[in-house]
Amino acid sequence: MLLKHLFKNGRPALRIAPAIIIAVICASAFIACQKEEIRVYRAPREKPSLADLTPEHWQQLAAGQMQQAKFRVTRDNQTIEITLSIFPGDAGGLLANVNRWRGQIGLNEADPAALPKLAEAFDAAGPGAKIVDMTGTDAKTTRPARLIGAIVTRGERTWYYKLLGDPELAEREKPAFLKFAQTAP
Amino acid sequence: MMNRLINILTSLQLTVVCLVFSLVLVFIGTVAQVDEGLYQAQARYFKSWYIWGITLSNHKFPIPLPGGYLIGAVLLLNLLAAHAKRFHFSWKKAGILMTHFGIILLLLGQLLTDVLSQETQMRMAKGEMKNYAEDSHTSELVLITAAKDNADEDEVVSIPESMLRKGAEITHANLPFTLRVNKYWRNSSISSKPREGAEDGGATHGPGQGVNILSQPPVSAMDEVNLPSAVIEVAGGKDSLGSWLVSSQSSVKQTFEHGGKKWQIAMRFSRQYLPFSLTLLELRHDIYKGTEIPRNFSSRVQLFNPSTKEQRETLIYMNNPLRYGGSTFYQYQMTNEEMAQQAGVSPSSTLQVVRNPGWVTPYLACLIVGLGLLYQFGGHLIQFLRKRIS
Repeated sequence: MLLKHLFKNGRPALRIAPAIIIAVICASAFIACQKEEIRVYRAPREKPSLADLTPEHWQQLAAGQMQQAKFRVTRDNQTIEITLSIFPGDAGGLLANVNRWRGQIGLNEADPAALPKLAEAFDAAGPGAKIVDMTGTDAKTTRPARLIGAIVTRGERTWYYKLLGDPELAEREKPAFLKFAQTAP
Repeated sequence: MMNRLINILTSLQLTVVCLVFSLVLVFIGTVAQVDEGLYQAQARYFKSWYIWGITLSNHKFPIPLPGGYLIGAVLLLNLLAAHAKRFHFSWKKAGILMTHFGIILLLLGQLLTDVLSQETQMRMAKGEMKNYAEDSHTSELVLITAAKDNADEDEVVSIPESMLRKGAEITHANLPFTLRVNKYWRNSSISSKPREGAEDGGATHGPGQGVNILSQPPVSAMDEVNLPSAVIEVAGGKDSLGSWLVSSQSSVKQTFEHGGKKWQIAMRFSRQYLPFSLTLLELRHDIYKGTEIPRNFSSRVQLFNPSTKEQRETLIYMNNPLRYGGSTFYQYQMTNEEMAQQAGVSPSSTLQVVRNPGWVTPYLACLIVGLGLLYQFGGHLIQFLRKRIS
């Protein structure tokens, strides 16, 4: 029945060739002229970014190799740097990492017996979290340096927060650093 | 004039010319993938109207050629116009009609796929939940602010990378300020360490201050990505609020305030948000015993759809994708425990997310072509057999 309406004597009832040609040209031109435009969309709010978790005067720097984030604070010719690194597993264990940090400020390696005194519990950051606070000499600048490090295990990963720099400024920024070490950006 | 045009469009010679150009294009486009990369070659040879200059074995030849779009469009026009002009319906030729209809559907389906399909990736660390996929071939400059009517949502103004050109000024109804593109690099590497040939972006705010940017030649291979960077100045009225270095290398969001409202600015790979989320529960990278040959990659994920409260676990592995919500999730890449340990990163799995509303058309088209050929040749065969019997 439908075919009878569409065709007369076996030929299309309408002269559709010009219409088809124009339609295809218009469709092609439409596709060709499509330009990318500004989109506005809604997205579920993400976890707070680093910028939301750190004080405004902490200047964020480009993170180095193996680092998740790096900050610098400068005040009265004093400088400290704060870094965050995250590793799967325990990345060598507590003693190895504390000794690595001790090496950075010119201190001798500690033996396992001294570890409980060096690394105190940092319960505010989570179960099993440890904190060390050491003073020595910065191996790079040869200036007196203080290193505060927090080691926090979250799931199957370990978070290493480190503050290193001039002792006076380190003392001033310690509360903000401890607060930062309790967060997981 | 119109009759002459129709005569040309309906001619069989035009069909032959198009088919010859198609053969040449497929050959050149395939060979060029070695030098230009899969993604670039596809875009330049097949997803274009014309091609100026071809690359063969690392040599460039200034030869003009019609692109895939042009050949496809002319072929489609030719087929439609020929049918409209010469078509004479009879049951005897119904098979030919079906075959041609199938080919038309195939061409239109390809056009539909080309326009509407999206290929993105979803990279998840073990335990991570994601509700978006990223297109690593394109980046977006985003301005994010809290949604007025929903405390759990953000409003995102996404500016495509194609709009970022040095000196460009960008305004939008949803942005109460103007964005000026002070500097732009199509592909770059950023570092805080000084390097030869690198330049200071001149950002006045954020972690990009003092960072140097090294311009890199754009890449086009399938497994390489461009990392665009830009220095964006935010101007509210006549005053400048400052400038920020944004880059897809870090995708870090930087915060500023305007009119008492907090805004975040970042450059990142273009995102496509999904109305559901996937959480990577477990990833497996099995190898054949005693070898390094991979036997199986698989990701066990948990799917959660907040609108339907649907929550279920599913296993995605090679040739067994997850099909959900109009998207197909294929197992794509994997960083297993051992590789992650060496690189100092978390184990992760990457899924290829393909969204193609026109996926059914090639199957349907091939079925119609097959049925048409069967009808036509079957008819001839029956006629032939009848003649022989009689």
